[in-house]
Amino acid sequence: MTDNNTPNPINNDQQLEFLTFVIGAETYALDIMTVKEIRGYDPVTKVANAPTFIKGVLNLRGDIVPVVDLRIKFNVGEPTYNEFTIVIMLNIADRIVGIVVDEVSDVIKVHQQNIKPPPEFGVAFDSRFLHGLVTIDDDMVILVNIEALITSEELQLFEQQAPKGGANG
Amino acid sequence: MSVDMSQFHSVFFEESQEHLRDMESLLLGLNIEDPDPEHLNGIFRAAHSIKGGSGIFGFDALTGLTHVMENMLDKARSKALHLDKTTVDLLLSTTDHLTEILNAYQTGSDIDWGAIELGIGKLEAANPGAQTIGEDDQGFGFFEPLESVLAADEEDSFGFFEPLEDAEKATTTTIEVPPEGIDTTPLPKIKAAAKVQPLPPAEASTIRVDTNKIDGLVNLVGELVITQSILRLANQQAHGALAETLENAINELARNTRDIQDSVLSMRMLPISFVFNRFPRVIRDLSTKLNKHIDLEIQGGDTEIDKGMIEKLVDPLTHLVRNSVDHGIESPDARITAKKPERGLIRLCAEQRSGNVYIHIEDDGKGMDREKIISKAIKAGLIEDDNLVDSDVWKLIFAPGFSTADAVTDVSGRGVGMDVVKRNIEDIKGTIDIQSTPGQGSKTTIRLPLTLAILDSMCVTVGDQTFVIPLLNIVETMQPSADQIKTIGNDRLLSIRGDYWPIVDLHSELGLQNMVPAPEAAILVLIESSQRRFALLVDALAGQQQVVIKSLEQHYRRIEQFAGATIMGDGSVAMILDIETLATKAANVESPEEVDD
Repeated sequence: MTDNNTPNPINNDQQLEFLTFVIGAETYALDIMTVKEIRGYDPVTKVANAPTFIKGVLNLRGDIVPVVDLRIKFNVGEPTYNEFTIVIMLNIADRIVGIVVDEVSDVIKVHQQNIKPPPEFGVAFDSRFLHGLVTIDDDMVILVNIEALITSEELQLFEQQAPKGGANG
Repeated sequence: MSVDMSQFHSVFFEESQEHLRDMESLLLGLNIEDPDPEHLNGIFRAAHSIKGGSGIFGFDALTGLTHVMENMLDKARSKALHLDKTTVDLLLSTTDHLTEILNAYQTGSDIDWGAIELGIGKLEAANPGAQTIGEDDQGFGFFEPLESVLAADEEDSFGFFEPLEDAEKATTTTIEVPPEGIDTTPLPKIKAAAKVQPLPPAEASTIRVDTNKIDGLVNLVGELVITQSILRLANQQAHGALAETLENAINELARNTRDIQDSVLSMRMLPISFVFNRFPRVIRDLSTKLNKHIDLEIQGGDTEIDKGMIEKLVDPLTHLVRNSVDHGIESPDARITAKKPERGLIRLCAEQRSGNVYIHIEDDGKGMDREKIISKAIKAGLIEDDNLVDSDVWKLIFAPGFSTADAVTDVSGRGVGMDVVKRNIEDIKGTIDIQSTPGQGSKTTIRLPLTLAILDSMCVTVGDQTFVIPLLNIVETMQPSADQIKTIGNDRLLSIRGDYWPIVDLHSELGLQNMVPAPEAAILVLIESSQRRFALLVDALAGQQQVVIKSLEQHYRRIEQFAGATIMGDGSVAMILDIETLATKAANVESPEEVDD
């Protein structure tokens, strides 16, 4: 079952559009409304003491934007960087975040009633971050609740609650 | 009322506040013996504009009070009424009252009508004949008698679109010559009329723009600068005639971009008089309260600084000025005993020098008491003995919880003070320094960067990464020789000109994988932070440049070691080092004072 605590934009019978992407051997999809743009992987600037899955920051037309490698975070596939590696720029909670994926494939339309609940196990992503599963052309596509994932504490992209006494003089 | 007026309210509030500020500074600057008619006109116009605006929006409390005030001022400018200190005081307190009412309207809180009646009563009492004004009350479009239609027509614009002549014309057309002023009144009137033409149209030359829009523009220009450097890099690969044409075009572009950048940044700049102009009032009020006679001298009020800093300067400067009035300047008796002029002097001075703005707050009071500070500091456990040079003693007053005031007054001396001042100044990347001579006074100097958006910096490299160090903090850069490096345990110190600087290597601070080179094979950047001095070890210097500061928090989060990020000429991101954080790291390296050579 999807976690009731996470925001779930799929709540009516409307047809929804998802962008599908590939990590390792699995096909995932995320709400296309959160996608700002798709671009190739450029070297990023590393940041000190960041977890390994945060590759660093890059310059997106004047904005300093963090880039997360989901392959490292969820230990799926191989974190290689070549000319086919893709960064999906997402616009979530008024911020821009880039995620590194192996491949971007398609835009799919999904009806609410065709979404099956996500399995409790067997998927690298925590079920908290999933909407469910759909079958497209006999292939299983995992629908990711990208907003819940990006804003989650695990990704450490947002300032955590505990204040840090850095600014004292 | 079919038109929604509320959308204009904020403009009215802002303009009125500006008018009140003008009124206050003009009143304070008024020469009571021989008031400048221009000043009186200015005060009158300000009151008139507020009255007009408040009438339109139905803020009756403001209209009522300004109406009486305006009558009084009108008489004053026609010399029918002589303003003395009491009336000026009354007018000043009325401007305070108006500010309160304005705030009440703005926040939607209740209006104290009783206080307004009282205020009106006081003003009328100070303005004999106010009740019987009749002819010399021009009515200003509300109650005008038919005869004065001509004058009222000119006055109808209520200061919003008022050409400067109007007020003067109105003066000349409607003034009833008072019996006792026959030989003096025509003169200033003629002067005023003659002055009308050359006056610059001050109100028309400004426009209100949301600061966000300007910041957006600053960002875009930053982008433009980067694009231009990318073009320049790309052009290095071109050959022949094309390369030359491109080169010329790029140079032209570079020049234009720089000009645009300069003018956009200057939009964020405001004269520091925005802060300074509040102090005549502060000092006037405080000195009256404390029975001291104090003159204020302001210099360099037109020095421009970043708008963001203006707002953050108000509190610390107010605190410093209050301190000077309360603790610095002695009572008149004490001053006479000390063979000083009876009137104390406080000097506020701003100047721009070598990319920084310096603000000095100087008084000719009794100076700071070394013994008192030391005994207090020992009591507070800040120091152990009095073996300190003067400049170090003065620095003690910036320690948290330090206050030497004998009695806690509402002027100053609550013990939350100079440490907050220091922190406020450091927040806007400034430094503060204090000098004092017993019996002769104290001088506080604040040094600020010109702007918060652009940083003069030195770029350094570690491995393949570039980092940015604010030039403000750099004392010098050097390549040390092996005999300058001393080792204590695991820590290394640089010995230079008799001083020891702890060495902090950037590689380990930032958790970089690169090999840490031996200091003599690397570059040491000598850095001075507000807390301590240290030598930062880096691989190489990549040159000095101006960088545009970008926030990391906007899309990511604060990172302890970095003050922000910036975009380099090739479009890549470089981190700006947070010197204060590195300095605390340096504190873990053994303190240099404890080292014996």
